[in-house]
Amino acid sequence: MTKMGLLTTFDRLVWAFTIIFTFIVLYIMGGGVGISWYPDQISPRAIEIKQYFDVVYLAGTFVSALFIGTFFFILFRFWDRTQPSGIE
Amino acid sequence: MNTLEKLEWATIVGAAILLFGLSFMAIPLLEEIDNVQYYGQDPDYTVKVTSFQWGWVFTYADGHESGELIVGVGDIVRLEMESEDVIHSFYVRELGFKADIIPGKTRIHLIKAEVPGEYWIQCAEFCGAYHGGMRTRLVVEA
Amino acid sequence: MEIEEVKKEQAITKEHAPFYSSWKSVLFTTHHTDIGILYLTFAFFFFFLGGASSLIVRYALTSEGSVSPEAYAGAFTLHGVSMLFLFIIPAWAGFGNWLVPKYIGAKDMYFPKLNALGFWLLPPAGLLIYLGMPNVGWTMYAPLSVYSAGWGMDLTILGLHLIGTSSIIGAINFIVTIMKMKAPGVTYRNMPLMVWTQFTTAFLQALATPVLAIVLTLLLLDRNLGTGFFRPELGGDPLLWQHLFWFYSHPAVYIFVLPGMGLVSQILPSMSRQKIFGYSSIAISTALIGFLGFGVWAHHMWITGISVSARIPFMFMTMAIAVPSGVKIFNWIATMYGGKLKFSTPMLFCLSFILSFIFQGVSGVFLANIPLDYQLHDTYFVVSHLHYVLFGASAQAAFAGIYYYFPYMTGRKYNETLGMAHFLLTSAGLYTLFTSMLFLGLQGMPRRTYTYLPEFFTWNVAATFGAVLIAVGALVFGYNILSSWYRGPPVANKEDPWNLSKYGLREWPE
Repeated sequence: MTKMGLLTTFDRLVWAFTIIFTFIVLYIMGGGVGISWYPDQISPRAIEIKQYFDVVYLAGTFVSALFIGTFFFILFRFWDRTQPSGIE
Repeated sequence: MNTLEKLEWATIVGAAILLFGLSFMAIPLLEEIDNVQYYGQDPDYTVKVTSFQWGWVFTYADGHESGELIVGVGDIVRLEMESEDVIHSFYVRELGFKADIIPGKTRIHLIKAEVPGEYWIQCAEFCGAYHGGMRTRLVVEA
Repeated sequence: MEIEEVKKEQAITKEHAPFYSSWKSVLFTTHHTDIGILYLTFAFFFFFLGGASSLIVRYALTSEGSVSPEAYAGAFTLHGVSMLFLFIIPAWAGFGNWLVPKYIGAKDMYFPKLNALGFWLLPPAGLLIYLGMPNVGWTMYAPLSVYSAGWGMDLTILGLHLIGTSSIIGAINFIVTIMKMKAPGVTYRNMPLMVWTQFTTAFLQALATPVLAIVLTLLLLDRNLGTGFFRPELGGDPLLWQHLFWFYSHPAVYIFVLPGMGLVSQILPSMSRQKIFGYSSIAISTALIGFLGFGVWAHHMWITGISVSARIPFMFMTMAIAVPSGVKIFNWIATMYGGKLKFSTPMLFCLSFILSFIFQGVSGVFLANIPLDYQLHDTYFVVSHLHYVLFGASAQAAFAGIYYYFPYMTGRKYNETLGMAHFLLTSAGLYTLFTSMLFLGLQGMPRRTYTYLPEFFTWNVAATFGAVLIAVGALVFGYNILSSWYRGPPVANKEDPWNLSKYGLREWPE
């Protein structure tokens, strides 16, 4: 039940792709590229806070992508389509 | 121990390292933000900030008062913030800075604006029905 | 002996007529399933009232001043108080009442009459709060709440006192029931995770709620006798309120969410058709979250000016609490691995719960880092974070629980199509609404404002659109549950409606 052998090489590629895709989507959405939700900062301390924010944002996006990507991959990979959705 | 259990321990250790690492990074920054010197420099002048339901009054060193905060570009300004009634919070998003003003206490904080222009000072702590309207301008003069 | 006979009779008549068929049995019932259903009915009644007030809030924010600032303050306060104290806490008490005795193989709770008392304290509390119409925010920060004119605040305080009493009574009952009434074979090492979360929650309630009672009493004295605990001109300190209030209300956050995690830990394995992964790590992380939850209250006060040396340990404690939360997410995802996932409505709500929980966890890490709070504290970023926990996690777990246990509770099927519609509307609305708030917070929109800078308008419209979707979904939910309760088709196998035995699982212990 808990063996990794359940997954084929193709599955693993899809899994990795899902994580990378999630990372890119989250990174763009939260203002990593192009859009900036965070206002432009005008003081040295504020700029340092913004730099720190960017580090946390990168780490947060990375962790979210690992969890959310894996979540969606497992969701679709192990969806048993033979079971009806309702109460039998 | 099977693969999933190993992965679980990796998650625990990885998360702990990441989170504690971020916290350690925050400490020097935190100490700087609350410092009474701005990167080792003393403030140029003091402005007294009085907050009340629902507005702000700024008193400058020469005794003159205004409803907008006017500072020179690049000046290190020492804000002495006080509240006359309930808790207010001084928030300028471009300065990345917010401070709750507790009645009965004087909150001291340094600001330094390096880009001329007009910015919003918003109250960030709910202070009664008209809290949303409690905002004024920060004018940074060149 | 006589009591035994009466109970036997009750058990027999229960087979024929449900307890709500006569007013007398509604008022005097002490059976745990009946009380559970009373709690749930009460909770969802206030879910709809609290939801209505949140729609007033959203309407105020997208319709240029058509709601007065006073009404706006009243609406968001009522939304917070209703959802937290009159919806989530009673909902978890309801699920706990219905499920805990069954899951540990007991016939009833240890103190059935106290159990009934715990419930019947709530309707007067709800009435007092709605008569009081508080308008200072659910956190009731002093000294604003001290100066708030009229009786409204006093009635609210009395209402909250009743809720606090009710939840202490309920908590002690759960603790004793779980410690004393486990059937032979049910132990701390194998009792269902739902019971573990209720057990931890009960300890949190029993230990933290007295502090709420203290701080509310101080406020009542300040308001009516002029004692001045929170008034600086009389030698008091407004920060005292925040310390004591959050000493209750941060553990309370775990009171709001832990039982939801328990429900998900039951439903997710059943719908994945295999045993939960890492039973003991989920149980340990639950207890650990409960324990650490007492040591993080100051993270609600990062920018109040408390000293750096006080804030740093709290920052590390707050970070530490993210680890057991991450363990839980890992275990839930690992539970699905290699399973045969059945996408029924409760399963879909569990999945959306996990996704929301990831979002809240990550946004929580931003908020736990003190320097970022100089920008993010008291903005919509916080509003988004807390709604991902309280709506995305707690309320969705409650929906999942209602759908999953519906056939057990009523012996009938709910309408699966309407259930799916509810899920789609809720999740579409939820992610639109709270992600818009995330963006608003990063842009610097303070919370609890009836008016705002013009650049925030676009995302406020998006947020209101999301709120309307959730509201429509909630109406579908209400219709589905009520109509299925009265005339839904009966389930074929009432003991095992989800066909667990086919996959070697079981709902109740032997």
